[in-house]
Amino acid sequence: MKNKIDVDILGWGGYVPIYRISVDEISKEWGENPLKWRKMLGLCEKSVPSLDEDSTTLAVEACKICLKRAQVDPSEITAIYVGTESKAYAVKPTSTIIAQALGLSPSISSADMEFACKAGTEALTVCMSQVISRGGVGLAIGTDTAQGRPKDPLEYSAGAGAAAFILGSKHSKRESAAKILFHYSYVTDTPDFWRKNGDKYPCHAERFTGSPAYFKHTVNAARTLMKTVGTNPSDYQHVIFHQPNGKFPLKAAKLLGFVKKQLKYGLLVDKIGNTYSANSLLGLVSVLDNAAPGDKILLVSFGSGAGSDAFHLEVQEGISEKKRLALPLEKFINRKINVSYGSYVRKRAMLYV
Amino acid sequence: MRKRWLLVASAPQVWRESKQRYKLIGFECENCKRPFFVERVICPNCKSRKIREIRLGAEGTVESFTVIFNPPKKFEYHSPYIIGLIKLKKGVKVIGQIVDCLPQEVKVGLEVEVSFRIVSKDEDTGLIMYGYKFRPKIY
Repeated sequence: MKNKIDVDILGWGGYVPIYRISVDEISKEWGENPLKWRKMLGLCEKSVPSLDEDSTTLAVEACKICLKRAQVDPSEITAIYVGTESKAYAVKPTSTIIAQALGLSPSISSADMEFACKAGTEALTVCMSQVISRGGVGLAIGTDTAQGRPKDPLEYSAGAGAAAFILGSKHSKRESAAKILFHYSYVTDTPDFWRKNGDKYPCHAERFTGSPAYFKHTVNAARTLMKTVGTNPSDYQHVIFHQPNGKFPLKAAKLLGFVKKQLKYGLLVDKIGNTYSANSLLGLVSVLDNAAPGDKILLVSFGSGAGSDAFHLEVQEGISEKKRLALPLEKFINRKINVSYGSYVRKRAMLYV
Repeated sequence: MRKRWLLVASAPQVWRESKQRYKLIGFECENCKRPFFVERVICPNCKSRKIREIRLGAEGTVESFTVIFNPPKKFEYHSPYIIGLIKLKKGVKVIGQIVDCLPQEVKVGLEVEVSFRIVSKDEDTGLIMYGYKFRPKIY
């Protein structure tokens, strides 16, 4: 087994805003058939950030949960990497605001990552490299308040959420919840989804986002990783795919030979929508909230443009204790206030001119 | 003076207030241990000049509240919103917005916890002021 790495997940945390808007409410506004959209996208509702929430505030909330689980003093963290495609500022790092809010030391490595929906796992990958090469404890975050143009299919699915992970190397000598043992990335230049500088909403190539983009990269990354590790789909208790809608991850699972049971905890899109950079990482948060020691996890992200990161994880004994230290993601998913389309427009700051 | 009331956030102001707003940092008299939120040079209780920073904690209860229907400029799209007087676990009372609940759900004695939010955005410079607000405690 070549390319084996050994990085410990010391803590994990996820956060989803309280507001939801249903597919029915959006389709009613546009005079569309709600059944058609629910069937087409495979989701019921999506999370909506409040007017006073952005990718930075969501990330801070996820990190607070993550720190409780990791039982790491913020001053001990040596690196922070944030993946997002909805940065609060075009020029000014999100990572430094989060670091200041959490009380991290100024003597840290810090950066914002961008790779469409893969930015979160990109942050995870860079953080892994940092803790392997430099030691210490690192914080990796995926966070987004996803944009969807009114009346566009994306409006039905673009949600908001954040996921955070504290990583340590095997030398950090701390209780591990899970180990990341293998990693593989697969990227190509594929124009399936983009947002130019200054544009408010992204554009997408509709059906082109499927076969040449999502499925090609997701399936290639997963297959190559499993070949490297020497595992089969049946060896995994949990599998998490990027979930732009409710149908793509199910189809990817079928193409690779996974069954629905393995997606049980990692598939969240039907309840919170596509949370972009936080998407597959929130799936991992949910899986870790429910996993048992010895479980094997396959995580495959996807980012338009395009690329996929695949990770092989194995759950450790330390997970049982850590689960009890902070609120599970389920609490935030079940805590909800459904809003009207009018309220949604106000919360997404569409009233601003 | 008017600008102050409108919460126009200049860069130095955002920078200067960030520690208190981000982490709800308060102060404590080293002599009589009285905690307070606003920084003071002299302890109002024992007149000591030995003041140190403390974390005021992330949880508290609603002592009083009001619902704002006629907000100042910059907060028009937030109304109606709830402003509460929150008694923190350390005994200090602070004023802050209560979020993630409807006005009819708030009551005196409601347990709340700190939530990191956008406090204001400067329309001219685009500078964002982040800080603490409160939400009903999640169990």
